[in-house]
Amino acid sequence: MSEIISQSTLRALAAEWIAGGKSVAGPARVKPDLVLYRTLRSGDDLLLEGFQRPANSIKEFLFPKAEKLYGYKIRGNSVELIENDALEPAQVIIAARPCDAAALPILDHVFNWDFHDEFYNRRRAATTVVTLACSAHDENCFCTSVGLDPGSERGSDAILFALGDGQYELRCITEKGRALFGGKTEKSEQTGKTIAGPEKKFDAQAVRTFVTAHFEDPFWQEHALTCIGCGTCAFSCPACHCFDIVDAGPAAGNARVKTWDSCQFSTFTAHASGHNPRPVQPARQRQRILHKFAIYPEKFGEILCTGCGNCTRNCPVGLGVLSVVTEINHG
Amino acid sequence: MDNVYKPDLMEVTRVRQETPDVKAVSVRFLDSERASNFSFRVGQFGIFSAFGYGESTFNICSSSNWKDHIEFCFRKVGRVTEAFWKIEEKDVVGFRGPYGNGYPMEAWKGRDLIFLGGGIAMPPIRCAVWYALENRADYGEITVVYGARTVADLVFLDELDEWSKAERVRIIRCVDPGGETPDWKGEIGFVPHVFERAQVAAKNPVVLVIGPPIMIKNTLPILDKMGVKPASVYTSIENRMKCGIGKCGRCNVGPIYICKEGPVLTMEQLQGLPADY
Amino acid sequence: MTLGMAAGSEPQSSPSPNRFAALMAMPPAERMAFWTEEFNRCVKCFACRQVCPMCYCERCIVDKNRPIAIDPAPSTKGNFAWQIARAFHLAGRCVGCGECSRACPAGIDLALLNISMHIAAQKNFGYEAGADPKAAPVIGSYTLHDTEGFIR
Repeated sequence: MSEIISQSTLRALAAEWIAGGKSVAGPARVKPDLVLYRTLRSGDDLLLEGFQRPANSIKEFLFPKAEKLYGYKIRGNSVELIENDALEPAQVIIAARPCDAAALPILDHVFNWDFHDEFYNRRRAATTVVTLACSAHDENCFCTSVGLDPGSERGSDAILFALGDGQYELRCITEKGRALFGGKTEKSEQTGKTIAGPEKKFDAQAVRTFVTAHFEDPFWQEHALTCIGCGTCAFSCPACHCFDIVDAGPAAGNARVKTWDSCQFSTFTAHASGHNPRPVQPARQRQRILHKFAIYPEKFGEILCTGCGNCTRNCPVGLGVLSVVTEINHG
Repeated sequence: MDNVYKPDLMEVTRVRQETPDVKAVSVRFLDSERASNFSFRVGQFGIFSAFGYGESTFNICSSSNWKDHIEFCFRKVGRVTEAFWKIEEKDVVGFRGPYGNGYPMEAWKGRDLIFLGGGIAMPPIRCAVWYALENRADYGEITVVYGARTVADLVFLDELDEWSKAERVRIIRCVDPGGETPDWKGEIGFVPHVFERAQVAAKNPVVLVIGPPIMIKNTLPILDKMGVKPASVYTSIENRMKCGIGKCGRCNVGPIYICKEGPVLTMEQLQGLPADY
Repeated sequence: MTLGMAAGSEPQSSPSPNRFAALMAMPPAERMAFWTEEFNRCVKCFACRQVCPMCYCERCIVDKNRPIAIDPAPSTKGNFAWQIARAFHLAGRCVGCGECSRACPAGIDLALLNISMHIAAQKNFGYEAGADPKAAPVIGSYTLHDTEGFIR
């Protein structure tokens, strides 16, 4: 016995949630050749078929690209800090990919390591993630190499499996998921199946061993030379979370803002004295791989990568994580 | 909401200019409850901010025994420190902290202490020296070798004078060759060489060495000759920081987040880490 | 496979050659709404800058902070400031490679901005990037005959 739901019901539900004051995000067609997760204005905006995965990730709904930490008012010698204590509106992310949802329990670790980032935690608590299991994978996907698969339930409150003919099997995993869909489904005999994922492309443990032992190695120079040092990979990655805190002063509204940052930028680790521990791009690429496959696993027991392939698809020079780690494994 | 990024508001109580580009600032909490609850360990750091300009990381260079204020010392090198350069008494700055692991002063009890510092590295040494002097009976012989490029670059000279009057304390000041003034009475030479010449006779000392990488690199062989093990040699690593609480991903040296598991590391630890600082 | 393209990706459909004309046909309010929508997706990844063959400043103005000339945050204001500043710094210098639009992960058609500055350089100074190696660059030179019609 399974619960099934139709596409039209899903869209109607999305419209209901939007009308009820919830923030609803899901894949939407932005350009003829570009699908992004966006805040939806209507149930019709929701795109459920015809693409591998959005070019961005769902992290922006829990960890926005710019988040005001507090404002400040300066009057002579007195400073007043102004905080925003308004509760986050309830949020639904619909049709997230398993590789997006799985990043959330991974990110929970760093945002709660001794100090609790309540900006992230509050949004996380206010968000229900409805995942859509994958019906296909492309050559950039590698979720199976990092311990996931196209039907993984990690990080999801509910998961949908496409059955064809606009029908989906719905499995509610948490109370949040059940609260959203209670009474909206029909009983059925049909069940969805997790498709076979991409074949395993590398051994993550072997990658970890290599990068830990080969900090100084011409490998990095050989395989990172094409990197142009933009932030595309980091910003489209579901798991990357490095950030900056900027204080642009009165011209920017007197606030301190947390913004996305990337270890690939040349000034990421630059000291005011002029010294830079990672002065060349190969050193910065090395940090990326080290952080994802060695450092985060050592600290928190999780690989900081869900194999979504966004980095490779979006990289202006086609680099991404996959090509580097497969080279490590086979080189 | 418990906002871990929100700073405490601090009032500036004193500004002292130490060199043409270095100032030391004393601040106190505006919130008296926070002031009475606050404590820190020497070697920890804070993220101080100039509202409108940004945040910057400095060691808390005052002794943890001083309860009414904390101090930081900075060189004017960038946007935020230029803003700090202009502050005066009664101005308000921000403070987040204390962060980091601090010096294991408890574990150092009973040992001779050797402090080796260059230039702007004196402030993170200063707090430990004051602490040791204030708990004099807990520590053995104290030796400080402190040098800078020129006489004008030396900081806290008046305090070095005070320290040299304390019991079982030896203070050696030096400047780089060519940095001396005609009336300079201290040593001339780089800190590692001056330290070697000083022939410090310490039994099983703890060494805190802070300074530019080249200075540390040249000091290690001398310590090795003295029989000091890397596990007894400490340093404070400075890496660029932002959040100070292990989240922004910027300050790591290999798997060590300097803001959380540092900045105080032993040479033994450092030698096991990649050259990422 | 075209050099630099992600393995297996489809070549993007060529944008309509009249897309600039379509943009300029919009009344100003509509065009402003269009750019607000586009720039709201900008995440300040700087792929546009990094791929651009003519963005080679040792230190980009957006990375300077004494003073902060361009709001570094990916806010509406910060994004407008960045994109407009970059377009101005490329006035008469853009060679029309289209990499900025191709590289943008948010699908912003940045080439439109550079096309408009290219046309402005042509119209106002008779200058076309790369056509005459001896011509003085537009934003790097002036003559006493330059129009001052913008001073009113």
